[in-house]
Amino acid sequence: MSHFLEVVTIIYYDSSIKSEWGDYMYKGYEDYSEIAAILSARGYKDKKILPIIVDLIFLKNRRGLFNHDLIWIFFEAIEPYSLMLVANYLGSKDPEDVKLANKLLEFVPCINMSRGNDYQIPYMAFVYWLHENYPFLYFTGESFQRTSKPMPYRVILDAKYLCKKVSLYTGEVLIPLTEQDKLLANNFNNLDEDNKLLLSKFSARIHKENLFIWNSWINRPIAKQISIAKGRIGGDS
Amino acid sequence: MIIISKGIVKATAFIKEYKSSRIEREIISKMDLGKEVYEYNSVDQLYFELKMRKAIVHSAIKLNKSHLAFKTFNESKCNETYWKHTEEGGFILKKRIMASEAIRDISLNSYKYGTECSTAMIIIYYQALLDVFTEELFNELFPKIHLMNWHYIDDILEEAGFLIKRKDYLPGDRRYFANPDVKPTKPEWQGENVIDLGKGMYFGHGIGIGDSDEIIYALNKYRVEGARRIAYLVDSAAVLDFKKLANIAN
Repeated sequence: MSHFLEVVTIIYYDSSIKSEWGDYMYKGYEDYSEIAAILSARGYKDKKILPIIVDLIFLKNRRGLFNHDLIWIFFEAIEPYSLMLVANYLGSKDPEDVKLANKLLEFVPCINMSRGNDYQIPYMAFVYWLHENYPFLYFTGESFQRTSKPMPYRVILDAKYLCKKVSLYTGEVLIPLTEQDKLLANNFNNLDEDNKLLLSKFSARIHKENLFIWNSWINRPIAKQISIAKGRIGGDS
Repeated sequence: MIIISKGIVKATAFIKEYKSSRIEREIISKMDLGKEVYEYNSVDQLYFELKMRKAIVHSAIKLNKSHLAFKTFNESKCNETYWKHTEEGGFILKKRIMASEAIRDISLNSYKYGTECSTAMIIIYYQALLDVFTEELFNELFPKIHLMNWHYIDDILEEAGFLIKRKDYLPGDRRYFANPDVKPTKPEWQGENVIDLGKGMYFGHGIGIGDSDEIIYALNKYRVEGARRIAYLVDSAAVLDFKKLANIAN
C-alpha cells in the first residue's frame, strides 16, 4: 500500500477524525487527504484509493463543497470498471447523490434520469453497457474544467464493429489491422451515426455468440449487414 | 458560406461596413471562406453575432488588463458587497443587488476578485452581454447569477459550457488547451480555457494573451517530470447561441 493510501485510509476510516471531519470539515485534514488521494491515484497509480476518492466526491457534494478536482483525479486513474463505484450511488437514498451519479455517468447513452424511482433500471443498463463496451473504450481526458458535459470515455465504434480491442490510452487497436479489416472499417466509417451504432452493437453481440456466424455476416455487403442487424435488434442501439 | 433569408451572400457586401474594425472583418472573411454554412433569418441576426463576438473579444482583452487574480476554487475571492462567496469557491449575486452593477464591479474593483480560467470565461460573457444589451434587459434576464465555471450556468448561456468539434473557428469562440501530463498536485493547470481573439491569438486567465505556442509553453511548465506529452489546442469550441440572443435583444 502506498504511503499516501495509508494516510488517506487512516484519515478516512479513523472514526474520531472522520467525526470531526463530518461535523466540522476541518480544512487541514480535508486538503491533506485530497492531496494524498491525488498523489496516490495519479502519481503512483494506486487504484486501491479509488473507492475512497468516490466516497469523498459524494461526501463533498452533499456538503456543497468543491469536488471537481477529485472528480478529475478519479477519471484520470483511467480505470473504467471504477465507474461501478459511481453507479452504486444511483441507488442512494440521498437525491443529491443520485443527481451527481447521473451527471458523472451522463456520457453513457443508457443513463437517463427520467427512469423514475427504480434505480435498478439505469444501474443494470450501465452494467451491461460497461461489459459490452469495455474492450473498445478510449480515455479522452475530458473534464468539467473543459466542458459542461465531459465524455471521459468514448467507444471506438469501428474497433467495436471489427471486434478488435483498443488501447484505453490511445484509442488505437492493439493488434494491427489486416487489409480486409481496413476495407471493412472504411466502409463502416462512411455510414451515418445511427447505422454505426447499430452495426457495432450487433457485431459485438454475435461475435460473442458465434464466431463462424459473425465472420459470415461481416463479410457480406454493408447494406446486407445493416438489414440483418435491423432484423435482429432493430433500431434500439 | 453566409446565407441570409435563404440567399447566399458574399462577404464583400459587408466588409466595407467594417473598414476600421479588424475583428468583424476577420469574422466575415472566415465565414465567407469557411467550410461551415452560416445561415441567418435576417441581416440583423448576422450583425448581432458580429457585435457580440466583438464584445466578447473586447471583454477578454479588458479582463487581461484588469487585476483579476488567478486563484483556484479553494482560494477564490470576490467583493462581498455584491457577491456571496460559496463553500465551493463560486460567487452568487446577492439579493437586492442589480446584476449589471455586480458584473461591472468585477472590472471596477478587479483587485478584489480572484478565480480560475473557466469562471473567467463566464465573466467575459456576462460583461460582453452587458455591453450589447441594455442595462434594463440585462437585469431582467439575469436576476440571479452564480459564477462557477459551467456548473450553474444560466440557460441563456448554456452553449458556452459545451465544446463541440467544428468546421471553422472564429474570434469570440471559447477554445481549450489540454495539458495531459499535468502534475497531479496542479489540477488547475490540467488545461486552459481561452477566448479566440482572432489573428491566431488567445486570452486565457492565468496566462494572459498569446498565440498557441505561448499558451502551450506556459502550460508545459506545469507537467510532471519526464512528461512525454505536450499541451495542445483541442479541435473544438464552445459558441453562444447568437440567434437566440439576437431574438432576445429584439
